[in-house]
Amino acid sequence: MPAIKIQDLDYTYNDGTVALEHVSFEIEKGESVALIGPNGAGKSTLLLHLNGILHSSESRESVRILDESVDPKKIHEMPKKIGIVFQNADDMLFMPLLGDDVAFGPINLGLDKEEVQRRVKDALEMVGLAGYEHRVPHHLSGGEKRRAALATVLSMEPEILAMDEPTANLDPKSRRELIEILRRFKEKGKTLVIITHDVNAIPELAERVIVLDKTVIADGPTRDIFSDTEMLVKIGLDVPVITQLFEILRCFDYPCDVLPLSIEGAVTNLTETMKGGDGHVHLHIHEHTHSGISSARSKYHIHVEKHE
Amino acid sequence: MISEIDIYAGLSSPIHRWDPRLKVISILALIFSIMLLYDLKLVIISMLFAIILVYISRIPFSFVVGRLKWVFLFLMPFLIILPFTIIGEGVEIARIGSITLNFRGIESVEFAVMIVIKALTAVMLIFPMIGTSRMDITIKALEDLHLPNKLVQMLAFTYRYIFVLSNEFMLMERSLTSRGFKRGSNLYTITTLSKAIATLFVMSYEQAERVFYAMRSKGYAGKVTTMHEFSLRPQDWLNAVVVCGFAIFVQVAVWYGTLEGA
Repeated sequence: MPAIKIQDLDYTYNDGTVALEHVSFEIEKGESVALIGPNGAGKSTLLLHLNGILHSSESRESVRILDESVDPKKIHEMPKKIGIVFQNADDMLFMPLLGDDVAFGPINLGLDKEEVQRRVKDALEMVGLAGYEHRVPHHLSGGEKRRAALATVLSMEPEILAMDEPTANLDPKSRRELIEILRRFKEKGKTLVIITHDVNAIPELAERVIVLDKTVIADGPTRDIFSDTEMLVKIGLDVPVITQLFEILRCFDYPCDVLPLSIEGAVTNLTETMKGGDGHVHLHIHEHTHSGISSARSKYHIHVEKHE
Repeated sequence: MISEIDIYAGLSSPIHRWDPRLKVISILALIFSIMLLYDLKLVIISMLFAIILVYISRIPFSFVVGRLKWVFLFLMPFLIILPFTIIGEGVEIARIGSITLNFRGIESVEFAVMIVIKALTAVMLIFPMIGTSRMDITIKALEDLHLPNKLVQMLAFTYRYIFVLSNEFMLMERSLTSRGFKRGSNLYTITTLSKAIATLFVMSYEQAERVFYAMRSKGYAGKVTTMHEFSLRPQDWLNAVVVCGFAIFVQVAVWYGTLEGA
């Protein structure tokens, strides 16, 4: 049974701006998917369709969550199935105390008091904010706010978690913490959808990538999508730095058929190469090395028009 | 960052420990009772009672006086106008064109003073009522007192978003200053700031919409409920008896006064 099934979804804003056109894809239960695309590609708009907050008459029945079509009249029943974390944490934290914010969803689900309290405790623990129940949300730091916003959704224990830009504007430590929290959620077998520009985080979080630019441009395993540099660069997206580095290493005769996407991949790749090379890695400079490097670099160079 | 409204909420005093629900109801009853008074002596006694409450609450008098100053500024006209406008015919003391100024005797001065003291007392009582609990707890107390949910939500959101809006405005002002804007008493300042405020309104509207989306995503269907629980101790009731008792006492005193007068 697919967790999310979108069939021919269209959406146009009131001012006539087309946000989504014929979007179709399916996400299986337990899958983790990164949704990437340039700014203004309709990613956030798509996210708001997943629980029926945005909807249009022409696309009725287009979105199905856990095999049930999303009914805009029954949005309040959606949080059990899908939790959405918005980009701006301040939008998610609207109660006087963090404990109230985290309890907000479970209370709306009609759970009894003990269960609400348990969920608040669990959710705060999960995001590393145990004991923060009586903190005032607007006094938290940026990283804490982001995790707090995530806790307000995790407390509803949704089957699917969809998060808009989880790592944007975070310091490296906060970014790392957030990635770990999402990894743990994923390891529980839950379905994860993340919108992100942080290509270096994708290999850790998602095994599949959907490229969106008003419509689905590409959809496939993370590795395949990141191999299609031409397509990514064309719509203004990036490839993980590690991948770029190994492509450069290839110009120095480093034997590498499949480019690694993450540090972990790089470690495995280097270890294997060294095993094959009697404990050494051999790099060489040839006549064609420099031209190879320039062509590899220009491949990733996003073309920006110069204004005189 | 502690908002000014909560600045003394963290102190420890019998008023701080008082259950916010009984506190709000009792002091509100006292305020109403005082507003019904028209006897200078009773009003002065009430003011003394209010001063005692502020003293017990340990909110610094300088803070209270600092705010009462503005209230007094607003009340000043009463002191000046009332002695010439109410009670009896009065004695003409001046004539400017077609306007005659009639002094209406010492009673009218007393009346004006009574009105001003009464208003100051009522405002003074707000400090122990609101200033001794954190605002969010007070809001919860109001909710617990079955104030209409919509009203409670409005209060809660106003309180929450004052910070967001003031922060946005601060950022906006910084960005203006960093681009060479200097506040002055000229038209340019006024137009620039009014444009900034207009943008702030649009931004707050958009943010309100996003918050509403977030609430809907979390199952909101029109009612906000929270987990906080209050518990009443005998001391809470005792405090209520003292404060409400005083409110009743002044009314009984008025009643006896009219009986004697008759």
